[in-house]
Amino acid sequence: MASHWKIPHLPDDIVESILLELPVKSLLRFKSSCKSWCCSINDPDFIKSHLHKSSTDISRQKVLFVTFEKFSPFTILSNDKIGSAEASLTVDSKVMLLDPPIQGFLNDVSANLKVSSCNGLVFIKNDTSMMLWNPAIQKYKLIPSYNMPLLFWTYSLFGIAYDSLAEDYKDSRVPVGFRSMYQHPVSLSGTVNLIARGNDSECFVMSLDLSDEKFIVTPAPIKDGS
Amino acid sequence: MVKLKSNDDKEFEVEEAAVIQSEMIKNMIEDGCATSVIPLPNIDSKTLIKVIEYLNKHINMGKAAETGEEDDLKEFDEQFVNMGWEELFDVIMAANYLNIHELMELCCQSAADRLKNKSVRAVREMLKITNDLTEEEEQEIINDAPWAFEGPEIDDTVN
Repeated sequence: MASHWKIPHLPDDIVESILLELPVKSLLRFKSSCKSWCCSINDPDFIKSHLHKSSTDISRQKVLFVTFEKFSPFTILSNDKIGSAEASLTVDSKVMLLDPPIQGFLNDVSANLKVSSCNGLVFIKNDTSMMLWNPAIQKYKLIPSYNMPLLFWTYSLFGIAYDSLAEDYKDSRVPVGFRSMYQHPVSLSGTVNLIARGNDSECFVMSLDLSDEKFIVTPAPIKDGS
Repeated sequence: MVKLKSNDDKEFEVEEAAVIQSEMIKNMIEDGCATSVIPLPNIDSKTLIKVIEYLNKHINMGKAAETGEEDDLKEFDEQFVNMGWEELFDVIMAANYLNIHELMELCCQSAADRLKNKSVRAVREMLKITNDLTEEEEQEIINDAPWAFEGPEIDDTVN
């Protein structure tokens, strides 16, 4: 058999081009093929390219349902939180139902549970703590809460976004005054966005840019026909 | 027409519209360096024939959507990558050298599809990879994500 084509003899950049097309589960497994594959797959630049490819390839995008219903007294779907993930999860279906990684985290499930997602990472906040979860690699981290006062905890804008300048993820936990906030924060190009209601009960979109930590307030669009 | 010469001294004439899908040759033509035969010292005639077959088929790719030839092109691509590993890697190397982005994507995707559900043992055997990890290193990788090594889809066969 000709020996010139064996993969160890293929240049690293070509091996990487092939690895880039694989889903995360296969990559985690193939890390144990040999040293050079392990190095390639662990390389931060490779991870960034893989994420970029996943976020630009619509066939790799998934709608995630994080299900809380079994912990909730109300067995209705409205307790399931919706997130989206650009990560290439190994399921053929477009929509997937996920159990959160630690069940204790959700024991005190309540209306204050907030879920948002960014680049395939899912950020969950309950009444007392925060968690960052990567369903593609099935790992999570609890984010220290530094004993924040209860009011701060209730009336803050929580969310996560990717700061492309600092090339890092930042979480926000900014007190925003006594305004009621609806829905879940949405992460978009380095900002965390939320619909809020001011004292005059007018709705607006509040965006926090995590690179310079500045707020932008945009009046909420008026619904058609109202 | 542009003349290409493989490393086993065979010459091929290709329409300019087809050959400029290669960024490398496109740049050579724009720089006026393609006046006579373009020698391709990294590509043998067998591989070059495959690459030219692809270039000729994809010549009007931009128009395919308008003329409803997309399905035809998709079918061609599926047939095209139906080749052995050795040949596939030769085409990948050629596509990389000639800088033909779409062909590179197509072939890398095909390679990935063949590997996707394979077990580590099968991948090593298919691609003749020598495992140079120590037993401890290997176990550490498995312990880090044991679920990635399990599942009904994982296929231990070599083909």
